[in-house]
Amino acid sequence: MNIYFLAPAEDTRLALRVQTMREILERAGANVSYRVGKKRHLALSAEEQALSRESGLSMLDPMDGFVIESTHPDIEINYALAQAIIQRKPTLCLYEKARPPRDLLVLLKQKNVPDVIEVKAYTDATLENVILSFLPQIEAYTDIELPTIKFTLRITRKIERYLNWKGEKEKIAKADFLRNLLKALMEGDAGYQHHLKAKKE
Amino acid sequence: MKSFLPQKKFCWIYCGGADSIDFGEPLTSLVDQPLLNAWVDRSPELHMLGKITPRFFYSGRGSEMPSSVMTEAATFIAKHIDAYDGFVITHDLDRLIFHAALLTFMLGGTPKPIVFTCSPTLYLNAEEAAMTNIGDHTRAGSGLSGQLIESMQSTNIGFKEVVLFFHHRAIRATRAVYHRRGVHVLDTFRFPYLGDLEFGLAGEGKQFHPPTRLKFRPGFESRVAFSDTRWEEPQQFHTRMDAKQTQGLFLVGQENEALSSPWQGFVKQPELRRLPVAVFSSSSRTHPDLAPAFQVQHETLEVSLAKFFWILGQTENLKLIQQVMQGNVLGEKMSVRGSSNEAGWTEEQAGLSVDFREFLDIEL
Repeated sequence: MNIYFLAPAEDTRLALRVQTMREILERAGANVSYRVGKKRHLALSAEEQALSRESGLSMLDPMDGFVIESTHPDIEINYALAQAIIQRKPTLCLYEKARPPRDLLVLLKQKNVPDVIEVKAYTDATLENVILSFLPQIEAYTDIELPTIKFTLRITRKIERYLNWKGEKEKIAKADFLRNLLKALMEGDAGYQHHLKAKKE
Repeated sequence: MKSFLPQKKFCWIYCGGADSIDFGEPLTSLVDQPLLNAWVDRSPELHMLGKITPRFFYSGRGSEMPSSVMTEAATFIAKHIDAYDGFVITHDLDRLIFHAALLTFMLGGTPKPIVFTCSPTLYLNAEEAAMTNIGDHTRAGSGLSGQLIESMQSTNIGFKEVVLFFHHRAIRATRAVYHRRGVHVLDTFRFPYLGDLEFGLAGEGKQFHPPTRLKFRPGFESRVAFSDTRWEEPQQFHTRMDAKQTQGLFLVGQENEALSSPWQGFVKQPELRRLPVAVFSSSSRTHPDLAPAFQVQHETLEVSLAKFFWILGQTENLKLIQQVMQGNVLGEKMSVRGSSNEAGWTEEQAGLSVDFREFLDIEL
């Protein structure tokens, strides 16, 4: 799960909380790319970065969801939210309970802003719960994600004949058949599911 | 800390460029001002970046767009330059670079960012399509909304000039070339990108033009006869050219010798001596012996042609026309390194891979 975490404001008062937010996401097993103040970190493999660059996609495109600390206004926040709206990305927009970003809240109340964008106030006590309760939305999004990773597989003629026969019989593309097969294997693999659960905890 | 973000004011000058799809709907229905207003009203993403006011100028293919639309757009910008923080112009991919250059010369400088963008329908081969997942525009943000958002955000990079912005990169309008690789359709010609939005705002401020006041000189001369001498013989050209109507000749020269002997003889005809004759050359060799014609080099073909149209609309002084065409007016000339015998740049780099024969029939 690739998450873009954005906290552009350089507010020393918020720094510790921002760090906590990132740690919560990482502990939950997310691969976190971030911009915190002026620091940037892109947690994508060189291959994923090259693919995005060559294909003309934004580096935000491979992200499965955005988490934004939006207490202080910043042009990067508005841009990320505009991208989230257009790409229908699950996005959690957080602000300190006592300091609502009123202008931003008005903009997010416009017609046609998709439901996938959630705005939540937090306190130190609620922060972890607010973030963790949002992550299932991102996971649901990754489940419906279209396959974008290219993978070359060499097969024998015998397997190819089988795939051709199966594809024709079930009226399904060979690649879809293989993807479905792997997905079913993954979901039924108790060991792997256990591993995922442990990682999350 | 800031407690609010000043809301920027943008003017969206619509000159087409909605060729692509957004949210699965073809946008060819944007054919008048009310439809444009309605589309903006139902696009919340645009309002995240500022207050955007759409202005309808033209809808349709760029190849059929009269260049006079650019004069109207330039006049509008000059009149309202103080009312907005930036202007975004959407335009079809066809003639985009030519028209962006024409507008640049007409404005003659700007204190505000002016960003051209486009949202073309791209026909990708199977490998490119698999790579880009281009069928899913809403995810890729490649549709008109995506390009508009990026163009508006690009104005925060800090440039105050006319740029082309496409797929995260800002390119100086007078240094742009068509360059097809995947979904990238524009590139910069021997000049750095002015900035990008690949992962947050980034820009190389030292490359920017300093902000200037407008030196608005609208208009251009459309009665220019154009020939690519690599493909056409002087006799063929003569039969289709109306010497009485023509106000200037623009010739694309041969690879290494600027003009072949038959063409050199042709431009010396008495009936043509009153005309400015620009010979565009992609070679870095100089040819001072072309008189009465003069050589134009170290810039792209489209920019050179736009500059010729523009300067002919400003003056009939042959000496001044030559000076402007050989001078660096708005950052269009590149610095030339190496000896004069250097082979120069490739046709693709110089924009010569584009078929400019369409300009033969252009109705401006």
